[in-house]
Amino acid sequence: MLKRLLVFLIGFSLMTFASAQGQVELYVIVNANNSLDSLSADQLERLFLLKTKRFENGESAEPVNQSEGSKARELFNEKVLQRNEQQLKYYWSRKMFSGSDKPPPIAVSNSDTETFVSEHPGGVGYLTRQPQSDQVKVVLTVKRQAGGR
Amino acid sequence: MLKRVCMISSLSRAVGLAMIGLCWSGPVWAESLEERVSQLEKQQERQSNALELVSEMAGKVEVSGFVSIRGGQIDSEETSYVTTLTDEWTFSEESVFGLQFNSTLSESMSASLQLKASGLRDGVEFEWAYLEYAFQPDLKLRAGRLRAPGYMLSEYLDVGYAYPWAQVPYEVYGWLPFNRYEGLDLRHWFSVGDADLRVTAYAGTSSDQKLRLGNFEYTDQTSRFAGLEVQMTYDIYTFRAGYSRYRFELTGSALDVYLLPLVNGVTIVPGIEPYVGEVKVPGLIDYADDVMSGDGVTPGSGFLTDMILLFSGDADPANDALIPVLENERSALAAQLQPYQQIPSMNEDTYGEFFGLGFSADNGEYLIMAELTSSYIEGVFPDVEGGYVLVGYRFGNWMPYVNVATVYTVGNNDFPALVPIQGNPVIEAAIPGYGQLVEGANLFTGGLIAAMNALRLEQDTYTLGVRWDPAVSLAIKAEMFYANMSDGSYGFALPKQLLELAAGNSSGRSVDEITISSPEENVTGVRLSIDMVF
Repeated sequence: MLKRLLVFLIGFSLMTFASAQGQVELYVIVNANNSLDSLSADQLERLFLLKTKRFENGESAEPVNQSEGSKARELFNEKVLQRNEQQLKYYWSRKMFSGSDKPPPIAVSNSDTETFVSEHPGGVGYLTRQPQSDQVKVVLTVKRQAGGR
Repeated sequence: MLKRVCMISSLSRAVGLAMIGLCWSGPVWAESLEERVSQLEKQQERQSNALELVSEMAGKVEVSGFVSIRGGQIDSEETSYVTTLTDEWTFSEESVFGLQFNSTLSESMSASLQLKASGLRDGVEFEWAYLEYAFQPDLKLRAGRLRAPGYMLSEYLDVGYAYPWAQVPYEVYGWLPFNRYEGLDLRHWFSVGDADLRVTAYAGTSSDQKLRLGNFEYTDQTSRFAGLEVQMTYDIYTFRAGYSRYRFELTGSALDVYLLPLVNGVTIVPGIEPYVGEVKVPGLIDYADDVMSGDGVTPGSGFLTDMILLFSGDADPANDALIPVLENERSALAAQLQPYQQIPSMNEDTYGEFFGLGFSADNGEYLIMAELTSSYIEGVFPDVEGGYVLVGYRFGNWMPYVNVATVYTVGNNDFPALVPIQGNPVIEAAIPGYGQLVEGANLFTGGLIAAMNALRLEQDTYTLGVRWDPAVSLAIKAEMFYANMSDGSYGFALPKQLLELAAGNSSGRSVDEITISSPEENVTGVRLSIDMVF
């Protein structure tokens, strides 16, 4: 009896773990008219840090962030940019005060992000849920254990 | 709702209350209250419209800023390190405060303004003031007042938060013409495979800034210049290379104004009875000619001449042997004066070339930064090469770091080798008083030799420090440095008396009251800084 319970418990926790492992946490979206079908986390990092201003297909990119402190942004920072807010502040202070670049604009929610991306041909953003609009498409999903790169 | 793009953390908020006020009231519209209210209502309706949110940014002013409060102290009583640190603790000399305003005027046009107050005494200066036009998102032209990207950190030297040290390595950034300028730059971003590049071409003029070492302004200048900079980032690595070429017009240099009179004397016209004519304050040459040497024939024209006349005229044959020795001393003296007469004026039209290579790697844990730079200015200025390597290791909010830096003078500058005047010991022994005359001459040469050594940089510096980021937007740093000067160079530890002399603060004192201390062999110092951005 006890043994069976133990097996059940282990099995259950393994299952939970397995499903958590595959769980999609971030959906990276671009405008539906963008010819890109996929983006790598590396390319996303370069786009969001404005190291490059164009997608691989040559289209100019308009990244949009979510609010500082939001779950989406925290995940994006961790999984894709692989930097915390502190390191990002350090990065942007160099860009801003040398008149180079400023951080991408902010959309305050998933739906704002979707709207922005659907209305900007070069828009690229991230959501914590599946997009609802057919004006955008998912080019990368970030999973819990998938890591940034 | 309204989303201001001011980046203000709670901590800096506490510090910069006044700035916050500016920030929240920053955008100024010429519109009535009613219009505003109805607009707000409309905005609420369209609350979730991201487009609105972004377009709202157009025409608004974003305010950001930085503060770096720096303090420090060195263990040397006689010198002043880059003219800002002495043996007394100070917090004012290296501190800076800046405010930046950015405004998006249209989709492709924006304006920026950066105000800076430094040292708590200079007043406020415009560091940046430009219009930017984006032909493409990756091709932008700026015009106005800009800062030249001479070396890796040149564009954000004032923003302590943006780099690891409490103060940037002076071995590379200690004395440079790279400051703000009026001109243009064209920047282009592009990628080659996984590497992202930025190429900047710039050209302009600069006239309202003095060349300075720390806070010691040593000459006025007007310059025209052009340069090219390439930055490449790949993975965790950044590489950069820059070259720029300057044409300088130097005027009113401290060397000419305050040191050359030590050689040539200075003629002043007091215009006060009974001194209606010119009054000549003697320099080294006058002193050596008129007091020591004389013209060789006229009695009373100089000490050596008088002695020659005396010994030729007296009946003592024992003294005759000294006559040729005295004659030789006159020519020896003249020969020793020659290098002093060759000290060139610093006020000249000249050119300079600057070259720099930079590297950094940052994987979030380890930080490595390194630069190699070379600056060449035709003429009296030292041609120097410098560099540094920083290695830091982050754990949590702490980053201890080690920095090794060096600067040395290369090639010949036009400054002749100066040595103290030497008297013939035979004469000094035989004729009482001659030794004192030689010492008198060296009261003049002391300042000149010190100035020459100050124009030769030979220094290695080892720094051990820690950066602590207790909150986003706030960094506190403490560092200790050990600077080693070689070959009789003052390095960056200049004697206080020389600085006073060059700053013209020695009036009311005669030259023999100014004794300039010799170079320190090493200097140990500490620095603290509190850096914020908001």
